[in-house]
Amino acid sequence: MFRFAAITGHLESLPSLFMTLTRTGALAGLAAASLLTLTACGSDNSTKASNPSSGASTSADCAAGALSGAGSTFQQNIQQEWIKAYGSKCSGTQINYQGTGSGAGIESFGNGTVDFAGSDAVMKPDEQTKANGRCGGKAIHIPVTAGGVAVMYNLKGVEGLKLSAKTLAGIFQGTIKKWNDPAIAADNSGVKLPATTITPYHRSDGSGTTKVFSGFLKDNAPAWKLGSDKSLTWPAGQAAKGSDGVTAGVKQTDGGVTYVEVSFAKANNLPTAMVKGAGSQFVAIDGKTVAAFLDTSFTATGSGNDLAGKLDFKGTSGYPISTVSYVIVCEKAKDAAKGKLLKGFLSYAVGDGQNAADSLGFAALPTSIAAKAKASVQALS
Amino acid sequence: MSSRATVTDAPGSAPGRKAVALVGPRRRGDGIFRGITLGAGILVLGILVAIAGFLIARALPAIAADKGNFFTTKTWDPDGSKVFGIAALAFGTVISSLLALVIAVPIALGVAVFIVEYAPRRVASLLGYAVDMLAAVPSVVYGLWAVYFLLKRLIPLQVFLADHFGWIPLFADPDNRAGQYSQSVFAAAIILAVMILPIVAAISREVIAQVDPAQREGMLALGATHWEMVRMAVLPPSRPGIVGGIMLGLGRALGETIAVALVIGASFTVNAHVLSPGNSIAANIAVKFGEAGALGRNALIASGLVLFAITLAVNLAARAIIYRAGAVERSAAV
Repeated sequence: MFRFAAITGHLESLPSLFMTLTRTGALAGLAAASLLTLTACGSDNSTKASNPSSGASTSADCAAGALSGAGSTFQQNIQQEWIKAYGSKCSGTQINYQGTGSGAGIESFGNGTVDFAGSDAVMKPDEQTKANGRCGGKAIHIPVTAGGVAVMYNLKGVEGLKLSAKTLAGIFQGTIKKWNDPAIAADNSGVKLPATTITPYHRSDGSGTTKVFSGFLKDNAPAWKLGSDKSLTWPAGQAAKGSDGVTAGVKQTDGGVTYVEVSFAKANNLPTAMVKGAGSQFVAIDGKTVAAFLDTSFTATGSGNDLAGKLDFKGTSGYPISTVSYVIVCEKAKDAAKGKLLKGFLSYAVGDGQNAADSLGFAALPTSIAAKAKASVQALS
Repeated sequence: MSSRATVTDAPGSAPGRKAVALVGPRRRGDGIFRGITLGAGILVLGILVAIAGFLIARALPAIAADKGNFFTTKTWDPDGSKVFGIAALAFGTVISSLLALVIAVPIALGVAVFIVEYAPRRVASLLGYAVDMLAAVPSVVYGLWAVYFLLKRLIPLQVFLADHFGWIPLFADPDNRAGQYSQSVFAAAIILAVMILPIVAAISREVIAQVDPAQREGMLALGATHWEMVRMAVLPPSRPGIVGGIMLGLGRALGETIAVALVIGASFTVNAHVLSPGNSIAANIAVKFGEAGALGRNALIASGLVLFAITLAVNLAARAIIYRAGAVERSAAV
C-alpha cells in the first residue's frame, strides 16, 4: 500500500499535467495528488518503531542540516525508519526520502536535485557519466539493505508449496496452467494438489522486483524466454500495478500466484513457496536465508569505494531470489556540511540501522557486505 | 431601465448625462479588468504552447530512436530492445473511453431529465448534490474501490455477458478470462463511466433547465404528454449543450490516469474483447514512468503527445458538432 502510494503520488504529477487540459480533470488530479500525500504520510504507522538501540550510540556521527534523497521504492520503508531513528538521535537533522522509483531517483541525482539516490540496480554507463558530472568527481554505489522476492500464492488447503525455477518459469509463461500439473506435483511429492487454474500475477509497472525475479529465472530455467528487465512482455497471466496490486489480485483469486517483497505476504497472511534454484534444496525465504545467499553470491565489481556489484543467481546457498539495494552518493560532496550529514546518516544506516531490517520485511546485509559498506561510508567526505 | 438607474450614482440627472456617468468613471477599471482577462487568455495559450513544445521536443528524439514503428507497434520496450509503439495504448484509450460514454450517457441524461422535469423539488436538489459529490471523489479512490471491491463482484456480470453475448466480438472471451478476478477494459470502462457521469449529468441538467418554459407550456397546451413534451420541446434545443457535456466527459475519460491504471491490467494487444485486460496511454505513463530509463521517459512523453493530439481532436470534433447542431437549431428556428 504505502510503497505504491508513494510511487503514484509522484507519478500523478506528470499525467495530471495532461489532465489539466480537460477542464474538469485538473481538480480531480489535484485532489488525487493531495490524497496520495496523505496516504504516503500514513506509512509511518506500519513501520513498527523497532526502537533504535538508543543507549549505545556507537556509530551515529551527528551533524545538523538537511538532506534529500529519492529513488527505489523498495527501500522506502527502511529509509523512513532510519530517518526517524537518526533524527531522534541527532536533533537538528532534516532528511527526507521519496520513493519515486530507482530510474527517477538516478535521474534526480544526476540533475543535482537530490543529495542521494536509492537504487535497486547499478547505474548504466550513461547514467554513471551524468552522475559523475554532477559530483564533479566519482559517484559511488553503497549497498544499504537487502531483501528477498517471495513467491506468494493463494491455494486452498495447500501449505508449504515447493517450486523449482523450471516450474516457476512454466507457471509465469503460461505453459503450466493447473495446480495439479505433473511438474508441480514432481516438486511436491506427497502433497495433494487441487485442479485449480493457475492465475499468475505480474507487475504492470516497471519494477526492480520484476528484474530480480526474472534474473533468477533467466539464469536457472533454460525454458525462460522473457529475459530479465524491470518490465517484460508477458505472454500470459494478469498484470496489476504495484506490489499491493498483485497482492490484492492473489488475495482475491483462488489459484493466484505472484512474486512480491516478503513483507506483503506477511501483512496479508498469504503463504510463500519454498524455492529451488541451482542448489539441491528447496529454501524458504527469511532474513537469514537471504543474507546467506548474498554472502556468497554478491561480488563487488566497482573499483575503490564503489561497491557496485553483481549477483550470481546460480549461487547454491540460501534463498536464491534475493538482491541488495544501493544508495548512490558523491564520493566527495561538493557541500562539506551536507557531506558530513550524509556520512553520519549512512554510517547509522549500514551500522545499527540494519537491526530494523527484519521487522520491516528486509534482510540485514550479510557481514561481509556490511563491512565493505561501512568502509566505503567512512571514506566519504 | 430601472436596473440602469440603480447603477448610476447621480439620481435625478438627465437621461443624456446618465449615460456618460455610466461609462466615464468606469473606464479605468474597465481597462484594468480587460488587461487581466487578456492576461489570463494569453497565459492559458502560453501554457498550452509550452506543454506542446515540451512534448514535441522530448518526443521527437524518442520516435527517431524507435526501432519499431511508433504508430503500429504493439509492444512497449524502449529501454531494452528499443521497440515500442502506441498502437495498443491508443486503441485501449479510445475503446475504454467510448465504452464508458455508452454506459454513462444514458444514465446521466436520465438523471438530468429526472431532476429537471420529474423530481419533486426537494428530491431534485438532493439528487443534484449527490451527483456533484460523485465528481468530487478523487480518481484514485475510484480505482482502489474497484480493486478491492468492484472487480470481484463484476465476475458474475462478465460471465453472463460472455455466456450470452459472446457472439458479439466485444464480449467474446477466447482466453477464458471472464470468470476470473481480473483487470479488464470492461472494468475500466465502468469506473470511467462512474467518473464522467457527474460531468455529463450536471451540464445536461443546466442546459435542460435553460429551455424556455413557454416552449414546454406550448407543447402541453397542444395536448402532448409529459414524455412527448420532454422529447420534442426540451431535448432538441438542449442538444448542443448536452453534446458539449458529453465531450467534456470524454476528455476526462481519455486522460484519466490512476483509476484506469489500477483496473485495466496491462496487456499490449489490440482486440475488441473488452472482458480481457487492455491498456491506455495515461495508465501506461503512470505505471512505467518511475523505473523508466532515459529513452523510456522520452518514449512515454511521446505517447503523451499522442494523447494530447487525441484530446485536441476530440475537442475540435465537439466544437464542430456543437456548431453544426447550433446551426441546425438556428435554421429551424428561422
